[in-house]
Amino acid sequence: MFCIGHSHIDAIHMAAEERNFPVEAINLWKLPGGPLGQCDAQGKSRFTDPVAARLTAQVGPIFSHLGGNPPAMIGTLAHPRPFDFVLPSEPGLPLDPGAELIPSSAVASILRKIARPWIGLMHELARLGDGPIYQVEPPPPNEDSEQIAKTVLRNLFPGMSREVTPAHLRYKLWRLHSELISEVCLPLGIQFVPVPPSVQTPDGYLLPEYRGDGAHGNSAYGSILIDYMETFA
Amino acid sequence: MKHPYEDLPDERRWSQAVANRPDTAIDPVGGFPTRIRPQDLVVSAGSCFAQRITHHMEARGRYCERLETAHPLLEPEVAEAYGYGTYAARYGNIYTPRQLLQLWRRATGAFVPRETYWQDDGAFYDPFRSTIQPGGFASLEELEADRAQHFRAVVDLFTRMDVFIFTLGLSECWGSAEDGAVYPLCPGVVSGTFVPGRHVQSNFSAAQMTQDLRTFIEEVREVNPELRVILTVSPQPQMVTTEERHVVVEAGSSKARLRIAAEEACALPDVFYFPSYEISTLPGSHHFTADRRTLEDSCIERVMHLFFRHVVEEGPAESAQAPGGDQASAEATHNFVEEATRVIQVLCDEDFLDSTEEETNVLISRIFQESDAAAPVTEAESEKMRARRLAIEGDYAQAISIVEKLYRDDPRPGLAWLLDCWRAAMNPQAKTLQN
Repeated sequence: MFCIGHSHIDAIHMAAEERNFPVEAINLWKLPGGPLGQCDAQGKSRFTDPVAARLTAQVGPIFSHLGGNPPAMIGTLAHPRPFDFVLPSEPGLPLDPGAELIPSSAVASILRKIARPWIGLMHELARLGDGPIYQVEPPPPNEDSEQIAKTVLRNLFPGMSREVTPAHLRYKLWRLHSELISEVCLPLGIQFVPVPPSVQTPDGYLLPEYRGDGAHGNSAYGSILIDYMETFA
Repeated sequence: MKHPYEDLPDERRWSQAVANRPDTAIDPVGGFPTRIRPQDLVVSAGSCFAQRITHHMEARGRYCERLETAHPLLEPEVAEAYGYGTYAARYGNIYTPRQLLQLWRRATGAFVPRETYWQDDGAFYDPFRSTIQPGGFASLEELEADRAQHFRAVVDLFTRMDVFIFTLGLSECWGSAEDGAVYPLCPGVVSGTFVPGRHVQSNFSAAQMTQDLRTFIEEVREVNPELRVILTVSPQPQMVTTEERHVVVEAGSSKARLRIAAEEACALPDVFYFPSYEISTLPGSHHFTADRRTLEDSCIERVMHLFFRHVVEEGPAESAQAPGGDQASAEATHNFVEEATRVIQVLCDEDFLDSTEEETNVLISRIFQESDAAAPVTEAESEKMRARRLAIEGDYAQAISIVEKLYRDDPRPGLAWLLDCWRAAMNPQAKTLQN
């Protein structure tokens, strides 16, 4: 099994080690060139040469875990001007009465802008890969804001006075981002793979037993993903 | 006195005040009966001309209230496309006095039109703000939530404003035959479907428009009794007419009616007329571009010069940005995105922030299995992980001590960042990352 991506791939890596399961998992954060590889003369994101060579050499499916950051970047810390939006695919979700409503299409434009470098890598992946390519949806958000605040912010960033966003905003941003990435995948010939429902609460959040550090899944989550990806391989 | 014209001042004589004078020497404003003070809360609405007044006031350092501003996360071009910042709230252009009165009544719940949305290709459009949402709203829920937010802003603004500047633009409009609701644009032009019989045109008389203006002012003054109103008439002719006569003839008639309505409304106390229309359409002037309806910049400048000279009171310029305004928000957003990015980076891979090429080569070699897969982490890496664990347990002193040593050996930005965070935790009086 061959996976490439960013931080969410660590859950797979951990699970593979625990199970002694053969997974080759490239986490771009760990590589020279950083998470976005390198830019070409036109400023487009592209993989570093060794990674590009590895992708070209891949025989069989590629499971991409690229990206996943944009919803977390604007949806983990509460913005000084708290915002909310109506999710187009689930308009009945609650709205924060104290937050400013932003049009969902405008929120989509923010996510699209932040995701541009990662989307650039997806284009590169589609160009370099020769077999089937699957884009695995990032894990659903953690519903427990207090846990995020404790494990992520208050200890690692104790001077930070910002609050954590309401859970429903994190969920909406995750969903909207997934819908955008799914749209990107279609013309690239990449199959978008939603997370298995078994890891989600009835409201769509990541089940507590699969939570990692507040932003990522743990090895149990990675193990579920390995089994899930195997059904596509 | 031989006759009433004998002792008139020069300004009342065309030969003395206008004839053979350059545009810049003609000043039809004279002693304007009210002044906009630096502390006044000014709100404008109307057609395009009203937008310019606000922008010029802000350009000259005067604060104009805006409640529905773009969220600072939005790019400027996106904000503009969504109608943010054009007016104090996202009401778009208000061309007729009826539309203005209707906005107030809809915002206060006094009038609820039967046709509350139009649906095209799966998107939902607000018939009363058809240009503020590119592509429409994704759901009816979103439209209604946005409208509720908009109404709150309108009621708040109109209740608190000291001076309301309204530019009358058109006498023609389209509306509903069912309940008299009027639309800024004819159904079918941008959104919606034109249904003959259901959608009907009105071309308001001067008396109708006067009455609408008076009613609007009187109703708003029930909650805002000190309100002063400055009326202007847009000099821009209408682009099109459905009246069966030449557009120039209809434009002349329409402007005459709008001008009379403005004049008549000034019979109310503290309602004033500013003659931007007359300044712009002065005979012999060439104030329009080749399309004969767009004003030259020089004309706008002349109008604004006279507006500031006669209407806007001199005084210490207020900041063009209120606390929490666009500039403050933009700054906050910059900090926010920067902070959020760093948090996410650390969450995603703290090691990445500080890895040397040698360390990352070890990592890459593990992945590609080109060397010893069991290569140990470096001592510095191990120490940093220990410090992080201590910080999570709340032992910041020990964590800082470890990272300080690492930083002395190798002053990397990621280590400085951790030290900043943890030192702030040790000293509650220390500045937060936010400030």
